[in-house]
Amino acid sequence: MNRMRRAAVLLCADSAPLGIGEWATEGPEVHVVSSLCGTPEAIGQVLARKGIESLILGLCSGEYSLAEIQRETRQLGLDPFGVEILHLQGISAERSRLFLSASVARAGAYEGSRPENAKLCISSQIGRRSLLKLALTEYRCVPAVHEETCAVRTGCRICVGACPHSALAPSDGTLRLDKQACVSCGICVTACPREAITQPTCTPSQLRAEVQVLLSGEGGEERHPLPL
Amino acid sequence: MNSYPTGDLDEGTETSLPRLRQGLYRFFATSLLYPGRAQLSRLAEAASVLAQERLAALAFYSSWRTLARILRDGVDSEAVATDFVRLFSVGERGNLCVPHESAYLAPSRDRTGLIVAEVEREYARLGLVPAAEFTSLPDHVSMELEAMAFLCGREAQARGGGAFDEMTRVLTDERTFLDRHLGRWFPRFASHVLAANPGDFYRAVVTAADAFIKHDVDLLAALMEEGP
Repeated sequence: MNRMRRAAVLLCADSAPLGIGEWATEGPEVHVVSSLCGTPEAIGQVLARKGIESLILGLCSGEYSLAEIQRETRQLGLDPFGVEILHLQGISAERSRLFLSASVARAGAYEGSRPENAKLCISSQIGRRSLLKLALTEYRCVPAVHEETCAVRTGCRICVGACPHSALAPSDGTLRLDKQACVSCGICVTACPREAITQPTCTPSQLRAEVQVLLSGEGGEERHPLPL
Repeated sequence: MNSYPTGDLDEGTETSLPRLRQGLYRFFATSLLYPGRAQLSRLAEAASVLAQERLAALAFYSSWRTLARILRDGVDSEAVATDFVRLFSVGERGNLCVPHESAYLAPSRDRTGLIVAEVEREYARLGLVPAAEFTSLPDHVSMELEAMAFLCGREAQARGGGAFDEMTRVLTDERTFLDRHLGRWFPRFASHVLAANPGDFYRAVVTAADAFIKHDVDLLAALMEEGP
């Protein structure tokens, strides 16, 4: 039987609907933090030495630095790809509770990533110069190939043909992913009949856990439609 | 293992990243040599210099953090030495983790010399000659990690002096060396060590080194795409 992970929910006071801080009497600990979106270092300040195993952030839409959040979570010993981020601005307290409950379930089902899953992003905001100065680096999660189960050596090319971005190619008896070309669409993950390609931020167990909560309406006061 | 970056990292200059990479390559090269007590305490000291919070900006920090913590808490040098012999010198039930490129990339056992000769040629092209006191073959993991440390040091010098042509040349050399040699076989070596049930120290060393090398392959690809 799976042990429940020690989870924490941090909500930006600027986006958190009134009353949401009192949500969840059992389960995750909830903190409403003033200007969390603009000061991600608060994540470390609030959660240091608390032994948190999964983290859910309720933030304002888009107004935060993912690179800083990733750095803060790494310092806490958490895998940044396992952190769930929700945009709560403009969403009612009731619906926020439901979405947060679903994210807690989803974060609890996260199984961890491998070094191959990290795609380093050099963008207009995070340029090469700041990278060289060790300022900020943002990573996106991409699928990874499990060599032990991949059948590329026997001539299988199903995922190569399925990828619409030509990001997969056989090389030297293994399958290589061009991370810069990959957009994490996940088509290769579903195309592989041997489950040799995985995307840790979107696994069946995560989706099951999330959908179960959304359908049950736990965390909200009544049943809600899926947020589609 | 003579120098580790200190000022470069603190100041956040454009040589910070190559200096840091130089230090890490050198660190891992040393950690995969036979461990004496003095060597382990030097590694612990080096880890404390390299374990700065700024490193948390990079994806491999999580595994590095584990290794730094193990060294900070202190390791039993005799137990580590016993583990070294078991893993890399004697093996257990035929499970010897050979720390040489030729063991992984040679097409057959009687053709390992071809790989060794190719590595030697590559060193010569880079202007490197294996030290006389180093008694292993030149395709030993520590020697290859040292070669990368040398190239990163050369890159830092070129960046510091604004020598753009030299920078491009060195970046190409680094990428070529990882693509043809170290980056091609180290993941298999790391898997082999992890499968051999290593103690905490070598488990952490190969996990961190593997994450770092994979990150470096991506980093060089991204840097070269952007230009020096």
